[in-house]
Amino acid sequence: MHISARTERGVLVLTPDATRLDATTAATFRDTLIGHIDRGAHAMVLDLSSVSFVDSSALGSLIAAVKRMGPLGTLAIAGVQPAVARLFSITRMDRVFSLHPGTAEAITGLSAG
Amino acid sequence: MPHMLLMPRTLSEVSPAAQSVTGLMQDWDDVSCEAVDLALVEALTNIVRYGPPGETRPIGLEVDLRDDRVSVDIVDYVSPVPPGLLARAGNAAFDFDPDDLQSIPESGRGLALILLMMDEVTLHEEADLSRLRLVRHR
Repeated sequence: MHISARTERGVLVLTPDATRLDATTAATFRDTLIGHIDRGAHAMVLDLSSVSFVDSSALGSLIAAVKRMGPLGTLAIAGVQPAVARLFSITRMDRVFSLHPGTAEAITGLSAG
Repeated sequence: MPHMLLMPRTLSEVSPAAQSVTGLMQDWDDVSCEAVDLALVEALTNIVRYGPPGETRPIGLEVDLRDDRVSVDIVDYVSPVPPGLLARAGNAAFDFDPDDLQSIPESGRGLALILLMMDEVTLHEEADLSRLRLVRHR
């Protein structure tokens, strides 16, 4: 799995090219997110528009990232597909991560926050 | 006639195995297919991750697809779920304080997700095999 990174309006936008985030990709996913955080990223948007499946391992990677970021950082998630949105709702992770229809809305949300 | 699948005991085979099962559910709704996909991925990942070191025999999947339900038996030489854990699993795995980020567990949701995604989850211990049966009603 490759996770591309770009900066828009001062916000780091990360886009994994995988369609499924599961136990095979969870370690890479986690290490990439935490790597960016450790290098100073404190406002990030994760673009999941190409991802149709997330399991509990990948969810654990997201939680690890938001914990590493701490209360002063923000990790917003954009473009979640219906199955992924249901997982966030069921596991109540929609109370931890702000979900947005697309990256533009997520960046605006971060800028407003 | 049930469909029989054998999954090599490696994480990279988990998603393809789950997708092989959901590929059989061609006239089912998306939500049901996604639920079976997630439940199978969680169960099979658990077996591969926490199974005995050195075990190389494949994991069996028996799929019984009916008009009103799909039943998937995961058949393995060791119990896919630790004894007693099935009875104790529940939605408590999803409880946390969103205002205390550091207290949110990074793992431990798999079994609760399986129970939530499926209508019936039962563990059958046979002579030298364990059978985890996952049933989803239409």
